[in-house]
Amino acid sequence: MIQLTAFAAVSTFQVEAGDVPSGTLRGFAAPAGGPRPCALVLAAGPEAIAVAQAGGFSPEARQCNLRLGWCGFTVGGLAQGLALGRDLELRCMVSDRVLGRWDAAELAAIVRPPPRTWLSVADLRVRLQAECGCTDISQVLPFAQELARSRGLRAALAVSYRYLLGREVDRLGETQYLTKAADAEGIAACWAAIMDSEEFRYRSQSMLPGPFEPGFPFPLDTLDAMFVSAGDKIPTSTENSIDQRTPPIEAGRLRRRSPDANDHVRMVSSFPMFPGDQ
Amino acid sequence: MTAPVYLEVCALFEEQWTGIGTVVAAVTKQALADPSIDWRFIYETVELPRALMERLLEERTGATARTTFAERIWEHEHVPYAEAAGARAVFTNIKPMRGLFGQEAMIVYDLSPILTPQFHNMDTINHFANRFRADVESSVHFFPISKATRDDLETYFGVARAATSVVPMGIDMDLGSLSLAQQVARTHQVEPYVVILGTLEPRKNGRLMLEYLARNPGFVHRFKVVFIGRNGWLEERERLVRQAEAAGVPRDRIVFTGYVSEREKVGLLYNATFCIYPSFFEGYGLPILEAAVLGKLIVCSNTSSMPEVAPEQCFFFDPGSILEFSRAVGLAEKRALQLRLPLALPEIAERLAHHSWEPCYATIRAWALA
Repeated sequence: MIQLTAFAAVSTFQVEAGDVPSGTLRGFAAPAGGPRPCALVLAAGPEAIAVAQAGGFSPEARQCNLRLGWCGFTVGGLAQGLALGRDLELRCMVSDRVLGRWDAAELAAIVRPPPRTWLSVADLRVRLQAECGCTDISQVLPFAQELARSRGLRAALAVSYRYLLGREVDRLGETQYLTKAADAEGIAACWAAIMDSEEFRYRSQSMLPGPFEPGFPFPLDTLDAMFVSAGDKIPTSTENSIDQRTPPIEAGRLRRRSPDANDHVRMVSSFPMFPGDQ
Repeated sequence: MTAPVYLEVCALFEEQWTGIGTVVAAVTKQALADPSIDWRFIYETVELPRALMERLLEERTGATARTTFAERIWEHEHVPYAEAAGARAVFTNIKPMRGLFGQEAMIVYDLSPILTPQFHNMDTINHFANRFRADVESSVHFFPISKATRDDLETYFGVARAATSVVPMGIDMDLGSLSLAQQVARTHQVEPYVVILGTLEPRKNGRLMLEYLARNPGFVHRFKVVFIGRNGWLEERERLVRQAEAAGVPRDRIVFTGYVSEREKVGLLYNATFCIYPSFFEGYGLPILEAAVLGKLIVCSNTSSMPEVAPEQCFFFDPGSILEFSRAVGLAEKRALQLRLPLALPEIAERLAHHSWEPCYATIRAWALA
């Protein structure tokens, strides 16, 4: 197999049962740390059915405080695998470790792919972009907040301009935003104002890239920064507005993973797997 | 380990990697993984650390590494002249400096500013004119990316064939992107469309497609026309939009995507009914190879290097002839309807393995070690 992006071995893995009837496995797969995403292979015996990069946003991973949620995957092809008459395996592409194995007969009783639906070119583009792109601005704002904390608001604003507007910050913008923002947390207000601008609306015809996409300018070491202070506020929203905020997340819920986490794969699955694998 | 060999990598600092950036990235990636040569990476005379090269390859854009590079300039870490005088260097584009190294070789993509100046702005022509001859005269070996480019070097600059090694082009396609494209195709009926892939500039000859649509208005009702590629020069996109309006093509039947990610490009290519490559002139034509590996039929110009790339999947035409183009499009449309289901993942992976970048790097490596 050829691989373009350098991937990391899976350390933590979870698959959701809810999407299986549609012929799709969805979940998250995270490495012990570092800037690289994991990659998974769905195989029926020796035959590779599909490959997926675990570089999308997963609300479940976010809930588990894993990599800010940026380790989600979707891998289709269960029906195709079943048609080959073999049990299916999901493997880590780096370590070749089997993460999950499913009995063909049991799967066959569950999988019922829905009929194909119509997709326009515009919808196709959205679907392709959404896989590892940012579908809600709250998914990527923590990267800017972390940069503001570590390198200051001015640096965070400069990178935010490149990300949101695709250009360097100008003197007017810098003055305008820096005078309004009192501290590092003010970067959220800066984002709200930039996204409210005509320039952003004109430019944002495509989805903003996620952390593993070219053009994502924020440092990826934020993925491993699992500590969030008690005062931190991570907003969530379904309407691309960063004004609505959830209550602060307790610091105790966020913890740094131990360095030896790489030595084992933690699996969580409510889906039928061979008993010996759990 | 050999004496140091220098690889010039300026192209990697471009924000968006298109043809040249892709080639330089592929060679750099292989060089980083080759312990038998002491490769040193340079931007002009500034030596770059391996960690920065690895970061560039991971990020697949030079946008964020520019700051690091700017800081490095002030550290004055330049290539020592004495060491350079005894070393070999491979330049991956027009040389930023020449005569610094004991033996210099260069990758040559195409001579299009000489052969088709009408498709370039004067800045590009002057840039090429002021540099290329001296670049050739200061090089002892050349890596043309196609036989056509090798022949042009011989014809216009008298470069002996023995001083050239054609470097085979490759593809580094992400199988995750490919799987996603296949998954979409399995679960959806994607509306029929054809793809024209390449930077929007006059040499790519997108206007031929619109001329075809003006004469064959029915086509655009059967297929949407999707132009994939960043906006280039000489206001080509505006010209194409005006031409489409004049031809009476409904606005919603033509799509200009602009620059797209690798994932989106693969997805759009894979789900297209067929692809069209009407360019007047190419040094190679990587999009032809990309489409061919995915099993797509390509309506392809018969000039310069293009017939070398994937002739078994192409319907060729003269890019100056609307009649030949019309015939080729008609044949491709009929043939596409007769094709079997799209290729499976292992089949495409096998094709990709046949078009890896290893032979390209091996050719450069052989000169570096000679």
